[in-house]
Order: sequence, then structure tokens, then C-alpha cells
Amino acid sequence: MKKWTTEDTSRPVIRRFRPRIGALSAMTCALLASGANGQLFQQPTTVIENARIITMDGDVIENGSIVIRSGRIVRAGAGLTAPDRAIKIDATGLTITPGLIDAWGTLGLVARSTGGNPNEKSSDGFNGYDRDAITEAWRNGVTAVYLPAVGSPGINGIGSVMRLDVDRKFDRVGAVAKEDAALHIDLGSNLSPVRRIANFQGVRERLKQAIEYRDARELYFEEELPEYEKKIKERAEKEKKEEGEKKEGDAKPTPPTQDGGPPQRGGRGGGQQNNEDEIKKPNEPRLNQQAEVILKAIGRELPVRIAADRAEDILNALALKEEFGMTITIEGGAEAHLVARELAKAKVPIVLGSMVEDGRDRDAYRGLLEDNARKLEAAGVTWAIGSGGPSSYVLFNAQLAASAARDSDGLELVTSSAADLLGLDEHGRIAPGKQADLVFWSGDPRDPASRVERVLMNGTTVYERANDQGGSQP
Amino acid sequence: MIADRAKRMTQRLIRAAAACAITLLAGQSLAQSESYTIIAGRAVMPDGSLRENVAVEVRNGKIERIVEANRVSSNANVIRLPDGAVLSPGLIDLASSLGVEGSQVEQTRSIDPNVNIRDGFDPRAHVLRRALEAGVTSAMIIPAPTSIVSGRAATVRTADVGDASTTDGALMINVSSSAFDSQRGPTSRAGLLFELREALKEAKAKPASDSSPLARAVRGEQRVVIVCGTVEDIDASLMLIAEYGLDATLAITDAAIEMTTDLGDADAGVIFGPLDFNSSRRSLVLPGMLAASGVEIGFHGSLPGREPESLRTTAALAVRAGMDPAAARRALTSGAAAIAGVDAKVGALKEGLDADFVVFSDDPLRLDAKVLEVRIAGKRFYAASHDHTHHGGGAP
Repeated sequence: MKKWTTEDTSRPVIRRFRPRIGALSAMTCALLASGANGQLFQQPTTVIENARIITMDGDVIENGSIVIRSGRIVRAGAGLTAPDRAIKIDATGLTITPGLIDAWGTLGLVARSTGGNPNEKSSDGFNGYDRDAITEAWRNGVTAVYLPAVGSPGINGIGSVMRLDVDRKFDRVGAVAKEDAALHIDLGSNLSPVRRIANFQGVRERLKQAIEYRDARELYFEEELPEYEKKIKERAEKEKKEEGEKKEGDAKPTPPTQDGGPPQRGGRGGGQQNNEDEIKKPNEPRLNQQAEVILKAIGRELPVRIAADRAEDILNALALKEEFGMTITIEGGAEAHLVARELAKAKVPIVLGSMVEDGRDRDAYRGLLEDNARKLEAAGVTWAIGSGGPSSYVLFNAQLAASAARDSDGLELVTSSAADLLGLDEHGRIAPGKQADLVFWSGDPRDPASRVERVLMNGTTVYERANDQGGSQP
Repeated sequence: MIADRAKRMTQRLIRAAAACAITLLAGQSLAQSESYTIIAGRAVMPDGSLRENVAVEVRNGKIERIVEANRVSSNANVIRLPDGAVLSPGLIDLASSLGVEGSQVEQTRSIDPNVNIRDGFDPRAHVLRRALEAGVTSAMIIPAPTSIVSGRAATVRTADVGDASTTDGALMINVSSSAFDSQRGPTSRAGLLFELREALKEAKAKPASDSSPLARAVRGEQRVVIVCGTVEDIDASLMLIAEYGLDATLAITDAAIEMTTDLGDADAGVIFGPLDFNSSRRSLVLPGMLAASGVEIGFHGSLPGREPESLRTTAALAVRAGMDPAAARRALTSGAAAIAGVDAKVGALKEGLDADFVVFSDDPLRLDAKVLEVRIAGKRFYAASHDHTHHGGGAP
């Protein structure tokens, strides 16, 4: 290489070396692009080795590896070789699954709202500092929860999906995976019959009022305002024209107005009688944020979850869908099996809650919770399951439902199925491109004797049993 | 009132005796057909472990022999369970209300040992069938513990198998505050323990021929279950057990977590449960800690208030929280039978016991395991809708 001699010392160094810097950069890029020593400037890679991998995306991989980079799964398979500088996690004897997803849970929801406000978000009520509850969830493999917006009977707020990832800056847990997941409507299945009917009518009223509001605003923007502006414009043009005419006829005396008074501002000047109505500006219907949210639901931009346990309430929910055209999912559905045919016909999916005693008035719900899953499946209803409460045991709950339904697997219900229901494209499966939210189990996760040994969120360890002080499990 | 009751009881006894005589004869012919051999890939043993390749020979509704599967003579009447299935003794619910509706306890006296819950049991109650289909074959039903001594428990089968269906059980003693009553007393712990002690002293003074329940209890001939609420209740119970030599089981709450060592030393069994997804951590870890201290446990599923799956859910939650899986399986079967006092009849795959079986599609601790088949006294009372079992030779 030519020696870098300076010809003109008055020029700044960098300018003289620019072409060489250019060459240097090009060489660096070439180096990076080459496969051999590409690690120099890349993100660190993590490789999990010697694991049994239940991908929920095909077969189970025995003695396999998962390559993770920047929190994403690059690939998973058997016989992969790890890059030299990768961080290695040995998972010999362990089974790895995607993190479990609770499609309907109340983990960390400590700030309960009074309800009734579609602008409230459930994610705001999530207490990310409740480490006890969250650690218990990790201990049972749960990594994401759909948080409903609960409050009072009627139209409530907006639910969201929360990932149990650690925000190290504030030392709290909670990363919103999906904001604005659904609008919540509670049909008050726990209420007395009269109050339930009143509540349902109230819901319909609110929906209708939202439509009226929309119509009023449409009328304003599409008719009234343009009409008004048109009239203003016409008048302005007319006045201009008359001004022009007036200028022309300045030599001529201005004919007196009929009534002798000064010419009216809004009236037509000149020789015309002016009893024209004042052009009134129409009132813009004030922007109603709550109604705007409801309209998004009606317009199918925002899905709707309707909490209904009694058969008649579920049928009412279907009637709402029929009348207003929303995309709905039933939540709860203790008596759904009684109206399974109607649900299947309307193609409305349902998220079931707890299969065990959960304080609901047993006498109020005919039929058996276990029968629900079996009969819904037989009728062709799309059903999913959450915990309906504290999320930790969502897999056990799903297993109870699966034991009754013929073609269901408890693990699938809380991984890939839950991800599909919630529209979480990057979770629920171990596949290239998915986020690395992974759980390491000491055995088959469906065996209660298995322990969670480690939880990765976005490729980083957030829980390790070896460091777990407060666990209930020895 | 007592005279009326005695008259009613006598009438019932006569009717029952007549019924027994008839069913005994019928039962004979029933039992004779219940002879076959079940070959299972896995089976739950009396110690709660899962053993592989087990053959159970059943004759006349009783277990005759347990052998290795490959030792079965080929011309036997053989039922081969499907791959992966587990043969288990029927599950047993303790301190249950299955088949007893409404108020079952006399409230007029605080100590009423002569009441027998059998009088209040309805063998045709629908909940029994539901429990059977979930794998529960026996239940220790108790009079509600609303007095200090509320009478005798009984163990019932969830299907009618003649005279073998019901067995008299433990005497129920209650030292917890649920025995308080402002009308008839006691209204305090001191009052309760005083009354109980007086009754036990009186019973101890009776001659050896006296067959009243409390007299037999202090002689160790009648088992008792003592219902406890707080740690003090457990303390008082352990003292009474030691003082009067009672053969006792304690029905406990999660307060017992402070006394696991004492309970281990006392050699008394315990009844605990149910656990559910809302249970506190204290409750979840308690069964595991008790088992580790050597205490025998049986689970209370709170049937029929809860679904019968509540029993296995309790077991699964306890195991996830650290309980040894074998101890959990015992708590559902052999341990529960011992506590109910029927371990000479049911509760384990053991020679001489009745053939009360459940075939699960997997380890019964796994909540996705389905109930494939239920047999009581060797007779099949339930089979899941798509028949999974393959019958070799003639079907039973």
C-alpha cells in the first residue's frame, strides 16, 4: 500500500485519508458479510443444547438445540452446531416448551376499575411489582396473560395481552404484547333476572347511541358543514359581485333601502329586499371518546369479548352480534353447552374459565363444567380456555378440559391455540422468527411432578429454580 | 323422641335384614361371574408407586393374586388394557356428603354418639353416579360436624353392590368452633373441652362389656375422627389421643402447617383438602410437608359441593407444590381407605381386597387422564363411550 505521505499539511487529516477510509470501510463490511468471523460485530447468540423440544409446530425434537439471537428464535432442530462465541445453555434431561399463555386471567390485576368506561385499559391496572404472584406464574410456566377489562355489568374497557417480561430499568414486570385487544362487555350473569334484563337493555342503548352519535357526526361533516360553507361561500361571492357592481355604479346614486336602515351585513345589498335567514353555523357534535371506541367495535376494527355464563345471556350476546355486526368472543360460558348449536351456527368462539369450583353459585348454573368442553367440541364450536382467575395453574385447567374433550391436548390449548385466539403471531410456538419466551421443564409439563427449571423471556433468563427462595416447591 | 327413633330404627333394621338376605343371595350369583385377569401396562400399587406390567387376577369380585404380566396362564379370561393405560384402585373421598342431602345432624344435644349417617344416606342419589364416572368408588360420608360428638360416619360405595355397599365408620368428634351453639352449648373452647372430657371420663368408667360408641372408642375398639380448626384444636386433640388412647384421625385445615412435626410424631392420620387454583401457598405445600414428616394423608374433595375431579385436582396441585407423587396416590387410595377404616376391604391392589378398580388413560395424577372404566366388586359399572379395552377370551 502506498505510504500515506502528506502533500498538503494544511488540509485536515480526515480529508486526505478519506479515500483510504472508504477502502477500509469497504473491507470491514466485506469481513462482516463473510461467514467465517462474522461474530465480531453481531448481537450475542444464545444456544440451548441437548433438550427435548416440544415446538407446538410439528414434531417433538429429541436431543435438539434452539438458536436465539436478539430475543428471537433463529432456528430449532437436532444436530445443529453452535457458533463459537455463543452463550450456551445445557438443557440435558429437560423439556422445553413455548411459554404458556393464559387466554383469560387476572394475574396482577389489582387495580380494579368501577367499569363503564371504554377508554380504560386493563394494562393500566396490572401491578408489575407483585413479584410473588408473578414468580408463582413463572414457576408454573406462564409467560403471557390476556387481561380482561373488568368492572361492572355493561360496557367496560379494553383488554390487553401482557407478557411477563422484566423491565430492568424499573425492576418491574410487564410488557404489553398486544394493546387494544378487545372491548369488554359484561352481561352480568350474576345479577338477578330483572337487573340482567335492564343491563342488557342498557348495553343495547349505549351501542345505539354510539351509532346515533356517528350518524350525527357524519351528517355534520358530510352535509351540514359543507352546506354551511357552501352558503357562506355563495354569500361571499354574491357580496363580492355586488361590490363590483357597486363600484361600477358609483356614479349612480345608491337607491335607498326600503326600510331606510343601514344595509344588513348578511343581506344582499343593492336594490334587493333582504329578509333572508341568517346563515347559522351548525353545531358540531362534540367528540365523544367513549363512543369512538364503541364505534370501532361496531365497525369490526376492535374485537369484542362478551362475558356471559347463563345460556340466555349467551343467546343475548349472539343477538347483539346479529344486530350490531361486531366480532365477538364469549368469555366464561358456564352454560355454553346448552346453546352449543347456536354458537356453532353463529361461528362465535368461546373462552372457557375455571373447570373447578371458583366461587360461582353452583345452583345458578345448570349442567356441569366438564361437560362443557366435550359438548362444545362435539357441536363444532371453536373453544379456548384460560384460567378465569390467577393464571398459575392454567395448564392444569386446560388438562381438565382436555380430559373430557376427545381431540384436545392441554398443552396445545395454552400455547399455540391460545396464541391463535389472541392473534399473537410471535408466540405460542418454537419456530424461526418467534420471540424466545421459553420454559424449561424437568419432565413432561403435563405431569404435575415436573418442575419449571428456567424461564427465558425474549431470550433472557428471568427465572431459575436454583435461585428461587420463596417457592412452594422444595 | 328417642323411643320413636328406636322404633324407627328397629323397623329399618328388620327391613334392612330382609333386604340383605335377598341381596346376599342375588349377590352370590352376581359375584360368581366376576372372574377374570386384567393385564395392565402400569398399575398403582399399595405404596402409591406405579409398577409396570402387572396382572391382577380377580375371582368372584375379589382380588385373588397380583403377578407379573408375563406370568399369566394363557387360557385365563384375560382383559388387556390399552397402551399407556393405568390400573388404579378406585378413588376414595373422605369426609364426604355424597348421597346425604339436607341437615343430617341432630342439633338438640352437643354429644350424640348414637346417630348413624347411614340412616340419612340415599343410594340412588344422582351425584353418586357422577362420582363413579369420575373414578370415585367409595366415600366416607360424615354427619356434619356441628356438635361435639355428632355420630358415626359410614363408608359407602358409589354403586349398589348389595350388602357390601356400606360399612359403619368412625365416630365423629369435633373440637373446633363449628361445634359452638348458643342454644344448647358449648359456647367456648373451655366449655367444649370440659364437656368432651366429662363424656370420655364417663365412657372410660363403663364396664368392658358396654358397647356404646364412646366406651368402645376409649378402649381403642372404635375409630374416631377429630375435626380441628386451629393449632390449639390440634394440640388439644393430640393430648386427648394420648390421654385416652384413641385410634384417631384428624381432619385439619392449613393451620396445621405449624405442627407438621408434632403430627408426624403422633402417628395420627390426617384428612385435608380440597385444593383448587385459588388456594394459598400454605395450603398447597401442606400435604407435601406432612407426607415428608411421615404423616398418612387422605384427601377431602368436598363432594358433591365440588365436581368429583376435585380429588385428583387436589392431588395434582399438592404434587406440583412438592408432595411426593406416590404419597399423593396413596392419599387417593390406600391411605384414604386406612383412614376410613375400610383398608381390609378396598383401596389397594392387594390380595383379598374387593376388586374396586378404575382404568385411567394415564397416571391418575395427570389431570388430562381420562377415566376409561370403573369396576366395583369386580363388576363393570362404567365404560367410556368409545370402548378402548380389548377382551381376550370371553368377556366378563
